[in-house]
Amino acid sequence: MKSVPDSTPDEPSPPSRRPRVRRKDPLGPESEIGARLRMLYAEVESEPIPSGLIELLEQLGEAERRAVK
Amino acid sequence: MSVENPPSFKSAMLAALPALRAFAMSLSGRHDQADDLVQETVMKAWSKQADFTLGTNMNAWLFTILRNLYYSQMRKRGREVQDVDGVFTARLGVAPSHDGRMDLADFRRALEALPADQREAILLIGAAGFSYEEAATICGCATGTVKSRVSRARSRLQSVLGVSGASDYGPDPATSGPVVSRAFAR
Repeated sequence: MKSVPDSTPDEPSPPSRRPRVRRKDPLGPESEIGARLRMLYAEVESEPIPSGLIELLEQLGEAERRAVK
Repeated sequence: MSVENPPSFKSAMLAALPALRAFAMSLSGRHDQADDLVQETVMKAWSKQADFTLGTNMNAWLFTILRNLYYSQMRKRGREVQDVDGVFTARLGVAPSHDGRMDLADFRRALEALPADQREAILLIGAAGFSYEEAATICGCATGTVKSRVSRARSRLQSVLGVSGASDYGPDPATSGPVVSRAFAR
Protein backbone atom coordinates (compact mmCIF):
# COMPACT_ATOMS: atom_id res chain seq x y z
CA MET A 1 0.00 0.00 0.00
CA LYS A 2 1.57 3.23 -1.14
CA SER A 3 1.23 6.41 0.83
CA VAL A 4 -0.41 9.44 -0.69
CA PRO A 5 2.00 11.48 -2.80
CA ASP A 6 3.00 14.90 -1.56
CA SER A 7 1.47 16.89 -4.32
CA THR A 8 -1.83 18.47 -3.60
CA PRO A 9 -4.45 17.51 -6.13
CA ASP A 10 -6.13 20.89 -6.14
CA GLU A 11 -2.98 22.76 -7.10
CA PRO A 12 -4.25 24.95 -9.92
CA SER A 13 -1.14 26.11 -11.72
CA PRO A 14 0.69 23.81 -14.07
CA PRO A 15 4.34 23.37 -13.04
CA SER A 16 5.73 24.78 -16.24
CA ARG A 17 4.10 28.18 -15.88
CA ARG A 18 4.24 30.37 -12.86
CA PRO A 19 1.40 32.75 -12.20
CA ARG A 20 2.44 36.25 -13.19
CA VAL A 21 0.53 38.03 -10.49
CA ARG A 22 2.81 36.89 -7.70
CA ARG A 23 6.00 37.70 -9.46
CA LYS A 24 8.80 37.76 -6.95
CA ASP A 25 10.96 40.78 -6.37
CA PRO A 26 14.22 39.66 -7.96
CA LEU A 27 16.22 41.39 -5.24
CA GLY A 28 13.72 40.84 -2.49
CA PRO A 29 13.94 38.97 0.78
CA GLU A 30 13.92 35.59 -0.89
CA SER A 31 16.56 36.36 -3.44
CA GLU A 32 20.07 35.05 -2.92
CA ILE A 33 21.59 38.05 -4.60
CA GLY A 34 19.59 40.45 -2.49
CA ALA A 35 20.61 38.63 0.66
CA ARG A 36 24.29 38.79 -0.22
CA LEU A 37 24.16 42.42 -1.23
CA ARG A 38 22.53 43.31 2.05
CA MET A 39 25.05 41.22 3.95
CA LEU A 40 27.98 43.11 2.45
CA TYR A 41 26.28 46.43 2.95
CA ALA A 42 25.26 45.65 6.50
CA GLU A 43 28.84 44.89 7.43
CA VAL A 44 29.87 48.42 6.62
CA GLU A 45 26.74 49.90 8.10
CA SER A 46 27.38 48.14 11.37
CA GLU A 47 30.82 49.68 11.78
CA PRO A 48 31.05 52.30 14.47
CA ILE A 49 30.72 55.80 13.10
CA PRO A 50 34.06 57.62 13.32
CA SER A 51 33.94 60.02 16.24
CA GLY A 52 35.10 62.86 14.04
CA LEU A 53 31.91 62.68 12.05
CA ILE A 54 29.72 62.79 15.09
CA GLU A 55 31.71 65.69 16.51
CA LEU A 56 31.34 67.52 13.23
CA LEU A 57 27.58 67.23 13.43
CA GLU A 58 27.60 68.34 17.05
CA GLN A 59 29.64 71.39 16.11
CA LEU A 60 27.36 72.25 13.24
CA GLY A 61 24.36 71.93 15.51
CA GLU A 62 26.03 74.05 18.16
CA ALA A 63 27.01 76.76 15.70
CA GLU A 64 23.46 76.89 14.46
CA ARG A 65 22.02 77.17 17.94
CA ARG A 66 24.31 80.08 18.65
CA ALA A 67 23.41 81.75 15.39
CA VAL A 68 19.71 81.44 16.12
CA LYS A 69 19.99 83.11 19.51
CA MET B 1 8.21 72.70 20.91
CA SER B 2 10.68 75.50 21.25
CA VAL B 3 12.05 77.44 18.36
CA GLU B 4 15.54 76.49 19.40
CA ASN B 5 14.79 72.82 19.05
CA PRO B 6 13.11 72.10 15.75
CA PRO B 7 12.66 68.51 14.62
CA SER B 8 16.28 67.85 14.43
CA PHE B 9 18.02 67.95 11.12
CA LYS B 10 21.06 66.86 13.03
CA SER B 11 19.54 63.70 14.42
CA ALA B 12 18.21 62.77 11.01
CA MET B 13 21.71 63.19 9.63
CA LEU B 14 23.15 61.09 12.43
CA ALA B 15 20.72 58.34 11.63
CA ALA B 16 21.73 58.46 7.98
CA LEU B 17 25.47 58.17 8.59
CA PRO B 18 25.81 54.37 8.52
CA ALA B 19 23.99 54.08 5.20
CA LEU B 20 25.93 57.00 3.82
CA ARG B 21 29.25 55.43 4.79
CA ALA B 22 28.28 52.15 3.20
CA PHE B 23 27.42 53.93 -0.01
CA ALA B 24 30.67 55.90 0.09
CA MET B 25 32.58 52.66 0.58
CA SER B 26 30.86 51.07 -2.34
CA LEU B 27 31.86 54.00 -4.54
CA SER B 28 35.41 54.57 -3.43
CA GLY B 29 36.38 51.18 -2.04
CA ARG B 30 38.52 52.84 0.61
CA HIS B 31 37.72 53.65 4.19
CA ASP B 32 39.67 56.88 4.37
CA GLN B 33 38.24 58.25 1.16
CA ALA B 34 34.78 57.10 2.17
CA ASP B 35 34.96 58.91 5.48
CA ASP B 36 36.23 62.07 3.80
CA LEU B 37 33.34 61.88 1.40
CA VAL B 38 30.83 61.45 4.18
CA GLN B 39 32.31 64.37 6.04
CA GLU B 40 32.09 66.64 3.02
CA THR B 41 28.58 65.44 2.41
CA VAL B 42 27.59 66.31 5.95
CA MET B 43 28.98 69.82 5.60
CA LYS B 44 27.44 70.38 2.22
CA ALA B 45 24.08 69.02 3.32
CA TRP B 46 24.16 71.19 6.38
CA SER B 47 24.78 74.30 4.35
CA LYS B 48 22.00 73.35 1.96
CA GLN B 49 19.49 72.15 4.46
CA ALA B 50 17.00 74.74 3.32
CA ASP B 51 16.86 72.83 0.04
CA PHE B 52 15.77 69.67 1.74
CA THR B 53 12.05 69.06 1.56
CA LEU B 54 10.73 67.70 4.81
CA GLY B 55 8.90 64.48 4.38
CA THR B 56 11.00 63.35 1.44
CA ASN B 57 13.60 60.67 1.72
CA MET B 58 16.58 62.23 3.44
CA ASN B 59 18.86 59.36 2.61
CA ALA B 60 18.14 59.79 -1.08
CA TRP B 61 18.97 63.47 -0.80
CA LEU B 62 22.20 62.78 1.06
CA PHE B 63 23.20 59.99 -1.31
CA THR B 64 22.74 62.38 -4.22
CA ILE B 65 25.02 64.94 -2.62
CA LEU B 66 27.64 62.35 -1.79
CA ARG B 67 27.57 60.86 -5.23
CA ASN B 68 27.95 64.28 -6.89
CA LEU B 69 30.88 65.06 -4.63
CA TYR B 70 32.52 61.77 -5.45
CA TYR B 71 32.23 62.19 -9.19
CA SER B 72 33.34 65.79 -9.19
CA GLN B 73 36.40 64.80 -7.15
CA MET B 74 37.17 62.09 -9.64
CA ARG B 75 36.86 64.56 -12.48
CA LYS B 76 39.06 67.06 -10.73
CA ARG B 77 41.72 64.46 -10.30
CA GLY B 78 41.47 63.80 -13.98
CA ARG B 79 40.56 60.25 -13.38
CA GLU B 80 38.23 58.10 -15.21
CA VAL B 81 35.76 56.81 -12.74
CA GLN B 82 36.95 53.29 -12.78
CA ASP B 83 36.21 50.08 -11.12
CA VAL B 84 37.48 50.34 -7.60
CA ASP B 85 39.96 47.79 -6.40
CA GLY B 86 38.12 46.64 -3.35
CA VAL B 87 34.51 47.26 -2.66
CA PHE B 88 33.94 46.31 0.95
CA THR B 89 37.23 44.44 1.08
CA ALA B 90 38.41 45.86 4.33
CA ARG B 91 35.64 44.13 6.15
CA LEU B 92 35.97 40.80 4.52
CA GLY B 93 38.48 39.45 7.01
CA VAL B 94 36.00 39.77 9.81
CA ALA B 95 33.07 38.40 7.92
CA PRO B 96 31.14 35.88 9.95
CA SER B 97 32.70 32.51 9.34
CA HIS B 98 29.55 30.61 8.67
CA ASP B 99 29.30 28.35 5.69
CA GLY B 100 28.37 31.20 3.38
CA ARG B 101 31.74 32.85 3.60
CA MET B 102 33.45 31.43 0.55
CA ASP B 103 30.36 32.08 -1.35
CA LEU B 104 30.34 35.66 -0.19
CA ALA B 105 33.95 36.16 -1.22
CA ASP B 106 33.15 34.98 -4.72
CA PHE B 107 30.13 37.15 -4.75
CA ARG B 108 32.10 40.19 -3.67
CA ARG B 109 34.62 39.63 -6.46
CA ALA B 110 31.81 39.37 -8.94
CA LEU B 111 30.36 42.60 -7.62
CA GLU B 112 33.71 44.31 -8.02
CA ALA B 113 33.98 43.07 -11.56
CA LEU B 114 30.77 44.81 -12.53
CA PRO B 115 30.94 48.15 -14.31
CA ALA B 116 30.64 50.94 -11.76
CA ASP B 117 27.22 52.10 -12.94
CA GLN B 118 25.76 48.62 -12.69
CA ARG B 119 27.29 47.98 -9.30
CA GLU B 120 25.94 51.25 -8.02
CA ALA B 121 22.47 50.55 -9.34
CA ILE B 122 22.17 47.10 -7.88
CA LEU B 123 23.47 48.28 -4.51
CA LEU B 124 21.06 51.17 -4.34
CA ILE B 125 18.12 48.93 -5.14
CA GLY B 126 19.15 45.64 -3.62
CA ALA B 127 21.05 46.70 -0.52
CA ALA B 128 20.25 50.31 0.31
CA GLY B 129 16.56 49.78 -0.25
CA PHE B 130 15.75 52.65 -2.59
CA SER B 131 12.99 52.56 -5.14
CA TYR B 132 13.92 52.68 -8.80
CA GLU B 133 12.68 56.25 -8.91
CA GLU B 134 14.82 57.28 -5.96
CA ALA B 135 17.85 55.50 -7.39
CA ALA B 136 17.29 57.32 -10.68
CA THR B 137 17.26 60.64 -8.86
CA ILE B 138 20.43 59.75 -7.01
CA CYS B 139 22.24 58.70 -10.17
CA GLY B 140 20.81 61.50 -12.28
CA CYS B 141 19.47 59.17 -14.92
CA ALA B 142 16.16 57.79 -16.12
CA THR B 143 14.29 55.16 -14.14
CA GLY B 144 14.49 52.83 -17.11
CA THR B 145 18.25 53.19 -17.14
CA VAL B 146 18.42 52.11 -13.51
CA LYS B 147 16.21 49.16 -14.28
CA SER B 148 18.34 47.97 -17.12
CA ARG B 149 21.55 48.42 -15.14
CA VAL B 150 20.11 46.44 -12.26
CA SER B 151 18.92 43.77 -14.58
CA ARG B 152 22.30 43.41 -16.27
CA ALA B 153 24.08 43.38 -12.93
CA ARG B 154 21.70 40.81 -11.59
CA SER B 155 22.15 38.40 -14.42
CA ARG B 156 25.93 38.59 -14.14
CA LEU B 157 25.82 38.04 -10.41
CA GLN B 158 23.29 35.31 -10.85
CA SER B 159 25.57 33.35 -13.11
CA VAL B 160 28.38 33.66 -10.60
CA LEU B 161 26.16 32.42 -7.83
CA GLY B 162 25.07 29.56 -10.00
CA VAL B 163 28.68 28.60 -10.51
CA SER B 164 29.68 28.77 -6.89
CA GLY B 165 26.64 26.87 -5.80
CA ALA B 166 27.12 24.04 -8.25
CA SER B 167 30.80 23.26 -7.97
CA ASP B 168 33.54 22.99 -5.38
CA TYR B 169 35.17 26.15 -6.60
CA GLY B 170 37.29 24.23 -9.03
CA PRO B 171 37.79 25.61 -12.49
CA ASP B 172 34.80 24.86 -14.54
CA PRO B 173 35.22 26.57 -17.87
CA ALA B 174 31.93 25.31 -19.14
CA THR B 175 29.97 27.43 -16.72
CA SER B 176 32.33 30.02 -15.30
CA GLY B 177 34.04 31.02 -18.51
CA PRO B 178 32.15 34.01 -19.82
CA VAL B 179 31.71 35.98 -16.63
CA VAL B 180 34.99 35.25 -14.96
CA SER B 181 37.20 35.74 -17.97
CA ARG B 182 35.49 39.00 -18.74
CA ALA B 183 36.03 40.11 -15.18
CA PHE B 184 39.74 39.47 -15.32
CA ALA B 185 40.13 40.94 -18.74
CA ARG B 186 39.49 44.46 -17.54
